[in-house]
Amino acid sequence: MNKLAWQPPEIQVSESESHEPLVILHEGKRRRVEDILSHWRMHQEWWKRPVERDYFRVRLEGGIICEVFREISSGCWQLQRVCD
Amino acid sequence: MNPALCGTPLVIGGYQHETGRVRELSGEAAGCGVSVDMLLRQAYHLCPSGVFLPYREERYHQAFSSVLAVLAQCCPLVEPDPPAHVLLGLRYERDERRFAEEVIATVERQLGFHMSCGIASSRFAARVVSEDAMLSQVLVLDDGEEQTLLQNLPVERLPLSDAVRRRLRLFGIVRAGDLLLLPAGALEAQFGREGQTLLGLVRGADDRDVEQWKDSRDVEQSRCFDVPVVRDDELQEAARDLLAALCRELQARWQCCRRLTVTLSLENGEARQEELHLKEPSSSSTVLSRRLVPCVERLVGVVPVEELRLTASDLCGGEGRQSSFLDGPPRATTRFREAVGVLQQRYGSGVVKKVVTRRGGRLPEERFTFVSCEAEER
Repeated sequence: MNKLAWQPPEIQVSESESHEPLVILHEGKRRRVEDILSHWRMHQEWWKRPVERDYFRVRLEGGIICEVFREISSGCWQLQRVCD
Repeated sequence: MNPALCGTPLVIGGYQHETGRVRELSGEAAGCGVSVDMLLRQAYHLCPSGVFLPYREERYHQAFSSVLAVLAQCCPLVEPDPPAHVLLGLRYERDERRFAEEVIATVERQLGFHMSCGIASSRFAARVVSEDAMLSQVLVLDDGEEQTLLQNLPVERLPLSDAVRRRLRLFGIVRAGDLLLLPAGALEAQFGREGQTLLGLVRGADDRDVEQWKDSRDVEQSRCFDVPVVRDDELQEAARDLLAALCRELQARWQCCRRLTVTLSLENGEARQEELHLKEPSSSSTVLSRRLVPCVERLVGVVPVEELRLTASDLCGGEGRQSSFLDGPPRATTRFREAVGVLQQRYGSGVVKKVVTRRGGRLPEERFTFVSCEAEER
């Protein structure tokens, strides 16, 4: 089971030079990214809603697995999904 | 509380010779004509036999928090309005007066504090009426009376800065209703945003919803064993009992926890601890025990346990509560309907939504949407 955000909340992320997440700050808590489990890019055509995102499925310290993405145009990070 | 002061006119805010203002007072002091925000010297003039005590912020804050905690057990919509007011959302209460009387009686019984209560359709009017009510009294303001009360209110009782209050007096404005006679825009031109807010208050337009206060204190339950325990089944039974008590306390506070900490104090002086992070906030003993049972199994060893402690932290409002309605079998339609009905009555018709999947969306958030959910639906 997982929790998918309908309106993904913005999060603060410390990222590496290659824009991979290192530390995630959400709801006042800092959590180190222990492992990047998968990484993919999503692109939606301009005639719908032009979106280009880098998705990361990560395991955080404490064992929480979640999906975060980075809007390539703005560089903003958002939390998409928290998994069991 | 000091029992020696019972029945004495009591004024909190400072000693009578000081320059401060009255922060709080007893019913006996109010009977002498003393009111909140009055100068201490003026209060002494009206009530020379009164006992004047300094305002201790830390103790006052503690007392206010304890009152809030009791109120939050009575009503899910509680908003602190410091230093001395609390707003309760009563939109879905059928008998508001009786409910308010019960709340006052509960606070008096549990904490020994006396309160007054005002019920009105706007926040500001309710506050004014509560100040007019005697201690332990509930005053209810009907719609027609609200306008009259607000318009006849002396400007001194409006929440204004001293500068604006002084200027209003210079303009000859004595009652709040006089403000409505001024040409449109004049008040805003003179006093800017404060003037605009003021006009809204006098017109009774202050009908913002009450915001939910969240008690952020952790909830803890512990048990000390007279004879240290080493058997797993005994510890599991104690853990189950503690968890049930913990969940009852959380539910009484309308809260769910995101983290449960299990601590075992061992006979040799060591302590073992494990934190359980929950993906969904919960106050359901069924949900929490699924995590607690294996955790206790992991922690228990060969050294006897002297104390078992459970701490629920990272508390949040009841937004995760809906999961506990569905603990039973999926055919529990009646229970689901009742739960939706209660939520809609308490928080409004739009509070429960149904998820509908959508075809064609590529982005995760575009693959579903929410539509309104009626209590009759399954």
